[in-house]
Amino acid sequence: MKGSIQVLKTKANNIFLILLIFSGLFIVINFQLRTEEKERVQEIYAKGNHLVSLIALQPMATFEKDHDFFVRTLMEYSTKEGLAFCHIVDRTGTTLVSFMLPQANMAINNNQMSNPVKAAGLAFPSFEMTESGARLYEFSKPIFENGERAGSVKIGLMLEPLSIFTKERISLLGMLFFFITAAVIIFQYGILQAVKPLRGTVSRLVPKSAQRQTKNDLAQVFSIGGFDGMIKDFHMALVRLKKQLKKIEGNNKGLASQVGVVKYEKRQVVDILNTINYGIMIIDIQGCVVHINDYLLMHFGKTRRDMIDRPFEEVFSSPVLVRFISQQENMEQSRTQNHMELSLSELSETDVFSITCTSLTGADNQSSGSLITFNNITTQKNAEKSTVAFVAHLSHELMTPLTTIQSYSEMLMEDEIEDMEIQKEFFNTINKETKRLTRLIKDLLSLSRIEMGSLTLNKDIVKSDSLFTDCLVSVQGSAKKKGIAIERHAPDNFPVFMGDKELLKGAIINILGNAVKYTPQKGVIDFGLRKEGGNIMFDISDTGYGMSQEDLEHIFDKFYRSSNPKVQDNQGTGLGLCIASEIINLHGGRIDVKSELGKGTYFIISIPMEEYYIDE
Amino acid sequence: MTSKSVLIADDEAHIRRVLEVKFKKHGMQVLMAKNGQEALNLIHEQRPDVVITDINMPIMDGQSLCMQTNALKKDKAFLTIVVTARIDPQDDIWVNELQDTILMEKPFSPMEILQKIQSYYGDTT
Repeated sequence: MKGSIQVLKTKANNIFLILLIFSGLFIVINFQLRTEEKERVQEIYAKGNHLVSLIALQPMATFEKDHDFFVRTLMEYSTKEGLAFCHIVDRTGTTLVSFMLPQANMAINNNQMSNPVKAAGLAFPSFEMTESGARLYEFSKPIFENGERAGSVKIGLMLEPLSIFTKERISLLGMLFFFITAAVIIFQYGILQAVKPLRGTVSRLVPKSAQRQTKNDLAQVFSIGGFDGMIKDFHMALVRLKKQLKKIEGNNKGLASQVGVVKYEKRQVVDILNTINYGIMIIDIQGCVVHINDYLLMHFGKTRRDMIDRPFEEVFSSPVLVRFISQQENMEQSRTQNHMELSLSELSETDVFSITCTSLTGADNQSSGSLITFNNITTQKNAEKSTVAFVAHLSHELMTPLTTIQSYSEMLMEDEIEDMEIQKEFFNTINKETKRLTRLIKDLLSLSRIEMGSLTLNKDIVKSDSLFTDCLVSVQGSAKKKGIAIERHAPDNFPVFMGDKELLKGAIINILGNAVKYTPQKGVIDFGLRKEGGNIMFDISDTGYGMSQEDLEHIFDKFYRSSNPKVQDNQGTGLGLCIASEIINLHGGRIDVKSELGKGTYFIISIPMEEYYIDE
Repeated sequence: MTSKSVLIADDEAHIRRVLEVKFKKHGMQVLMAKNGQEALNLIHEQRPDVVITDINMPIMDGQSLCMQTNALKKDKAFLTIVVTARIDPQDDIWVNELQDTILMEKPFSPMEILQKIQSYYGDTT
């Protein structure tokens, strides 16, 4: 019984193999025929196009004059290359050349032949020739002479049907048969060989007793000999693999949680990079952007998707920056962090950035890209500029009185001045310039104390009547000299408030002094004191030169002096109003100013009156 | 020294005055201007032999004045002394590019200025 089943199985196997070989053969031949047919059609199209173009290039006269020679040539071509017909007509439709193989005539109906070719371009109809099974391909083309259409040509090329049983094909089929048979046999043998090691694996994985037991079980269930042992081994191996799979799944869970932690940490790092007030960009070794933080994206006004993977040279157009980055990349070994300062039109029209480039290296010490940082240093640069301007101005302000003092004393010492009057004038000037220098240095010190925050108010109860009178007295002398009248506007009851009297006096005298300085002779100054709400107000108005709009915008700036020649004629450090406004600011007050050129100026100083307590 | 004419351009009256006294004492004619524009007008009108100018001046500064008068030196050369309290390396550059122009830092000595003029005109008296 077992033996007859084995015989049947072998027969079935053999039939299956033969079927497999033949179907393989059929598929290969079919594929081969299709490919060959395609190539032949392509070839005939190329040939037809070439030939029809060649004929169309001939002058029309050739077809009439050398008609016989032309037809002979075509006949030769027809035997060699399969030309079936050639039909040439002139513009009027008169046939000039008509040549046709008899078998072609069968394929094309007479109507079509007699009609003039109406091809505007190229048309390729094809006809099946029923007798021989060959196909006829038609090509036509217009003939142009002197830029005009003179006629047309139409040719037909014949394509013989493809025969399977040519000599070459039979030898090819033989070869194919041999190869496919060999392949099928090798394939079957290969499978058996490949399965063999699994048996060994199974016997290693499964204990001997279990193997025996399972073998019996399976033999009972399937009642199949031969492969039964193998199937049983597979089963055991699968059981074991399942166990191992479970174990691996457990490990995977552990790894997944670790990946989760790493991802969380990565997100944190990215968040930190995004909150930093620095632009950060990472480029890979090919120079393409792999990371860009939010700060830079905001400056670019683009999304992350627009920037990632773009080459650095495409992102920044500045050749200076591109050169800097490539230089830094070349110096990767030194790892020095050089920087350059640059304005980048892609980020901002006006801002200046300090750019650094650091080479990034992986665990194997190989370069993995570069980290580029962008620090906006515009404020710092502006501060540097204004410091330079301030120092330049200061040196000018200090040098001017010093030059006067030095040159005047040199003249006196070298007895260059004999006239006693001029000598006296020179001594006076030295004295005045020394005072000017002292005042300037004092002003600078006050300003520096205010700016450093080290000027503290010595607050005490200030009686406004005493403050008002002190200020008035200090300018009365110079006002009298110029014939300027100072009108007082003060209440009967002077208020009392908290403040630093000495500093306030300095600030008010400065403004009142300016009123005297910049009011022409016989002018009038109003000096008033009043209480308004919780504030004490000092009003100083004059009938002086007044100020332009530009002056009004800058009068509280350091060293600002009006370009008005009348103002220039008077000496000043350009610091007085700046210091005065700082003092009033320190008291929580403010200075308002209104002015009109040629009419006068009106300053209002308001200081909040704090509550105060008198110690009994 | 034959009577040379000197133009002093400075917005600081004291500086104009001390140089005026010094040069008059040495027999020179003195012209004075309070800013670059006044100086430019006087140079065109009077063609002085020496121009002494500050850089920081209202209306027109010393640099513009020198730039605008440099071409006049082709007809008749004259000495320009630029005095400045500014410490700006740029000043050296533009001064060096101009004909017969020298830079002097403040504080200067009137004697030193006189010596520069005398050596330019080859007079040691």
